[in-house]
Amino acid sequence: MNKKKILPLICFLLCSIAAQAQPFTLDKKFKAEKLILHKFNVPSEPKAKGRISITKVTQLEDTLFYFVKDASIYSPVYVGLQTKDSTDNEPLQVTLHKMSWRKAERKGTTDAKGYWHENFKTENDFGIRVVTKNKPAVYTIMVWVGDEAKMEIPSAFKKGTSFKTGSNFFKDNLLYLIIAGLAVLAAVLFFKLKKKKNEKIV
Amino acid sequence: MKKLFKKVLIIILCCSLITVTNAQSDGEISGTAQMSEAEISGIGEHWDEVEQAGDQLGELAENFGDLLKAVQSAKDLYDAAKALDDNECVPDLTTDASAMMPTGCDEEEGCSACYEKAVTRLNHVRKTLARMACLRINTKTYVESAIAFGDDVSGIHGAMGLIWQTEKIGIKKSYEKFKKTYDKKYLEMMESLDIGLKDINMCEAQFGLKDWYQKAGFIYFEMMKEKYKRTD
Repeated sequence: MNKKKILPLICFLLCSIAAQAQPFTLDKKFKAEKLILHKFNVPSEPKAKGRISITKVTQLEDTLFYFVKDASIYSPVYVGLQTKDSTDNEPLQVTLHKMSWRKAERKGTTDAKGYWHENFKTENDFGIRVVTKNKPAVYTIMVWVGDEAKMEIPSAFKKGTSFKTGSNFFKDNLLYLIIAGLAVLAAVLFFKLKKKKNEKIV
Repeated sequence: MKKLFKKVLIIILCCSLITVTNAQSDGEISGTAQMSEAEISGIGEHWDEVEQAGDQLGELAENFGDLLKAVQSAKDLYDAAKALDDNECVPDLTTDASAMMPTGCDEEEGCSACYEKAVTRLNHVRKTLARMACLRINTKTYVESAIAFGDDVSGIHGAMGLIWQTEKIGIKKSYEKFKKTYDKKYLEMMESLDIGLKDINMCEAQFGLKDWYQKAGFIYFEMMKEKYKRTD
């Protein structure tokens, strides 16, 4: 099965759980904005190849929620947020969520320069929550999902091993068997000669 | 070209400001401006200029650029990264020594060429099965925790009860669909694995061990079949 067939396969599996996508909530009023990933290619920086979402935000509410879809467990993910420096502003609180908006998997605040970032790996969806005390909070949020890493799969083979069957035993030990055979023959001849000599003496 | 790019940047900034201004005049709703595919493409082509722009995006791009410069490849970044959720399943691609198969090919030119296609197929199946298994485990955990959460909340807030029952049916239906899809894809993968192992058997018959499939391939196939079979 080639790669062209595998990709739709995984997509199909992911689509079948799409109804449960993004961290779980029962609140129908709850709204999280989907951050859309677009193809990203930097000719001068091949390591950056992948998909990216860049969003400029002016936050007037205490809390805003975002979610990202279609990350691959074989891809590195980077989430960065840049706001004003913290000289006159309270830092922004950022949390990352996987299963539920109630439980944060990673949490942090913007540093003195107004920067925060995390990198991780995950399959399919994850959520981002931004909390601010100073309103309006103006910031830029960037999500990058790299191309799938080329995984080196350890071999499933034990090299140079073979099955130890009867026929192989004789083949492998042929030299020793010949030597042993000759030794036995020599011993028989020796004893026969010795017996003949003894008979002549009698 | 640089002038054109600066003009594009100014237009983007103006558009963003319009959105922001709208949001502020409403007084209640926050404003977000996501960059379009064309804007992202433009940024990719002028990445160096973006890094030096000095605005929020510029600083972000610079920090991201520093992160990339610190690694030799994106794979290093991937290897260094931990799963977002501590309980999240990450595909395990290692092979237990006891589950390894013997081979009579010691990387000699003739036999290596014969094995290449079959081993590529085998590795692809291993990688996909490992990913599928993690998807299954993660989905199961998600569904179980969502149902537990819903049951708890609906028990506390009576009004939530009715909403939750409908929601719960939806989650269960969706999970059943996922399980069926998994089983279907699992069978496809097993067929592909069998083809791969039989191709290896042909190479073994030519270059290495006779009756390889009966003595090793079949055992490996059965082991993989059991390992990735859905049991719930």
